[in-house]
Amino acid sequence: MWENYMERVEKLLKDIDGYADIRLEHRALLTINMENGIIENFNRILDMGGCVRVLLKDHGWGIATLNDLNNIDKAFTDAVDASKVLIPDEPIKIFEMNPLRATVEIEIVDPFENHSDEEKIDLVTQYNEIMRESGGNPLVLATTIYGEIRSKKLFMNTFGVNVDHNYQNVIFYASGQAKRKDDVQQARESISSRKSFITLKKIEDRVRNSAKRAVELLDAKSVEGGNYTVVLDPRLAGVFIHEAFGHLSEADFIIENPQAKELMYMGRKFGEHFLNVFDDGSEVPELQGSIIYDDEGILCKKNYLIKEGKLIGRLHSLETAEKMGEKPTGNSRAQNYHFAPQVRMTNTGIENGPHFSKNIFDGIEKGIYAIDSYGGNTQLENFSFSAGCAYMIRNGKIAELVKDVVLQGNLFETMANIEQIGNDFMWAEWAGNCGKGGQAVSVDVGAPHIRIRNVTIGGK
Amino acid sequence: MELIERLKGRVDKGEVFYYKGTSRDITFKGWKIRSSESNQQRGYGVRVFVDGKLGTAATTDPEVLDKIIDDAITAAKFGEKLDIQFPGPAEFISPDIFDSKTTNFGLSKMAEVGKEIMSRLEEYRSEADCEISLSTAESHVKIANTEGFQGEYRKTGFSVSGFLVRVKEGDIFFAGESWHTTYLPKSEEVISKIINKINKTMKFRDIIVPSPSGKIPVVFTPEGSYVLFLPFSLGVNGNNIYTKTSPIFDKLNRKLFDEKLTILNDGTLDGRPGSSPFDAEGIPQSRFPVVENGDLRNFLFDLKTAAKSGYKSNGCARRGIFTPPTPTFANIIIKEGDSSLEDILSDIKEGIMVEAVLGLGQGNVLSGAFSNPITTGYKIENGKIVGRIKNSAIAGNIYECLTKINSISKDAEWIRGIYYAPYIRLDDISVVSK
Repeated sequence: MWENYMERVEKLLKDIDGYADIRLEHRALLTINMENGIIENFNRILDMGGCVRVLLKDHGWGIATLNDLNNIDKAFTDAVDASKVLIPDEPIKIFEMNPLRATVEIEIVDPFENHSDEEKIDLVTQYNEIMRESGGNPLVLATTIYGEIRSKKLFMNTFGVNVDHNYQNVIFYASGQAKRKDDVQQARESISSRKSFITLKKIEDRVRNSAKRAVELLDAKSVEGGNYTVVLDPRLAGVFIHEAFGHLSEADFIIENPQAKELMYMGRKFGEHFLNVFDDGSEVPELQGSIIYDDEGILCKKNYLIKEGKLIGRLHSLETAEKMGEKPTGNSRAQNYHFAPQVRMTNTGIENGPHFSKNIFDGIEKGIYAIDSYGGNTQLENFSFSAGCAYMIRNGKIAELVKDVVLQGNLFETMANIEQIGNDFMWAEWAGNCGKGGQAVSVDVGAPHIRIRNVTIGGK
Repeated sequence: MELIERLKGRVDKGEVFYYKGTSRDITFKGWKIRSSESNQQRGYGVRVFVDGKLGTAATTDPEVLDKIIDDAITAAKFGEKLDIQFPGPAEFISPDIFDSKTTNFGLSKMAEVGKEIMSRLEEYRSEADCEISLSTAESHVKIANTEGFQGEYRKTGFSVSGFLVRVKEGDIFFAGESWHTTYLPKSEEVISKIINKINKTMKFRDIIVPSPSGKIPVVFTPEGSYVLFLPFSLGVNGNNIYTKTSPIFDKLNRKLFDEKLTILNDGTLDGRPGSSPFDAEGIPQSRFPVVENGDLRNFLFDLKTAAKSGYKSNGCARRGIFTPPTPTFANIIIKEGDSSLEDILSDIKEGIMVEAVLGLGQGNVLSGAFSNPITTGYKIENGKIVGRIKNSAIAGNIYECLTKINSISKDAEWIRGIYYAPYIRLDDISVVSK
């Protein structure tokens, strides 16, 4: 679909004294949102636009975004003008690439185009009924959402790189809200797939449980604040490693902060010898964090960040790699054409460890089993996550459900306190997004069960 | 908007929303000028009713407008049956929200302001990173519907933010301030606001004191008070009223909070980013109390949530090109009290002041609950701020803790341009420290 633009773009790129790239994107989206059996929103979107970046010799980054692709010339002029205004104290350099031409098609087993609008409505309707049936009266709101996106993307730059990228993604999301008197409790569940529509039909049990859980939380007591030994389920462990550690591995942050560079030096011991952490944007293409090529035309691979407890890698863009004398890792990503790329994670995980997940509660007299994430935030080394739900652990056994469980702490202390890593690794495979600098990109996380001592739990 | 003509005869009623926005930003990072961005965005959103049922679609590509109309009509086959009344022809008085000086303020002038801020922060260069961003924006909104409403407005925006971050082993410290108006202010006014605030905060960078725990007095600064406002904003949002998921959906005109508390929504203020003559559905913006002397007076509605709840829209619809309207505060005003900050602090033997927290909006916020680590907070001892605190967290539920407010300050500040708030002191707030 981009043939008409290529020739013009090539000419415009040739005229640049320095580096330049362009991303053109076409997206077709559908969202179906159902609340308590009523289709609250059925919304189709056709979106098209582009982003031009220019780095003139001895100048700074000039960026221009546009919707009107008849105006690409103007976008180049705007980006050049912007770059000209910026005169940095020291020149900005980027990693030099070899020419490349690639077309990326992720294998699709069951494309959403093969399914009718009616079938998609049936999906949200059936799941909505399951939720209401399983939650009963206290479940005042059952929300089910189906989403699909078909994206076509072209990337070209002055190094002669040309990557044509096509993918589709489907998501399903369920959220239940239960209410009794003034108390409102919520639970949610989601799934995503790049490969097949049919995958969405396989989470009946999870959806049923989420509705049940929202209702059960009405009877749960608030957790007592304090310091506990905590076991995280694979999803929450994945969110933890993404939020608390992953963001500090993003080199755009490190190059701006000399002090952060001191904290994140190679070889630094982060945890026990059985702690291995990686980010992988290509090996499991169906995960929604998989991008195969990043938004600077770099091929993704599996990047280890921590091996045997020690820091051995970080995530890069063309610029951060050059600046730190390392190699690009394929982690330069933008939410869409409306944004310039930043250094971002893809699919981030903790590898299986030497412990048995089935025995991971053994010996915990009083602790907390925290399951699923209900949002997380970090500010450098400080983090805060809400568990989707949590149980007390008493004498090595899972005991009563508790609510309002918020894990808080310092990354370095908490990583060092990981005392067990289980053997049941799984990807969350949910419809998760990660926010940074005003941009949300789709990511996945994975881990086995992990056990951490002395974690602060906020509470009343 | 001739597009509305294309809907006539095919739908019961319909509406077209048009948005065009341009912006220019300059960013400084790591004490260096880094990048400059110009953004151009425009698009169309269509909502139609066919056989009483709602369908929507949107695009950024004017070449496919007919396709989008077809899509919206198809969507209406499946949509919700709703009885909403689009507004008819109307006249408007617009607040002063357009300043051509804003958009004429070029990139090189923005760069100069940024450099000036940076040079006045020079003394911190060796110990902290500096990040500054400046932006100017202009938007053009047009709304038309088949009931005869035709309206448009243009709005400008000027914003500057600057912050320092100091990273040390085991300690991360932020000091920052921002400016957001629709008009172009005098540069010196912006620069000194940012510098003064950063200097004031940086004074405490090396004065770390042990943090107290227990149920103690907590003073929320204007910025810190957002922790309390956020759960409330969900509680009064029309989306949580018709679904009855808000804990206060049936509490209109009841006493909810201490009578010192008054909260207003105001979309009519000159110079404020949240203002406009009408909302995203053509309903006039206004100023109305949400909480008045502790009593719940109004919820926030757009046409749809109002219809589903049995109320009338009060002009709170906000939308983007792709996202259908949803109720949102325009500008938020928490009314000042009558105490000076000194008086508020004077009888506190041991307490804390909260300026910023981590994890805003995470967890079960709709229930009124908050539980957040404090990222910028101070210890109060015998009426004085004695230093900053670390590794502390606050928790509570606004529907309990705001029933008794010790005091509200007579001074208030605009935060992020649209949130006006004083200092609020609550006693007996749960603080956990490590």
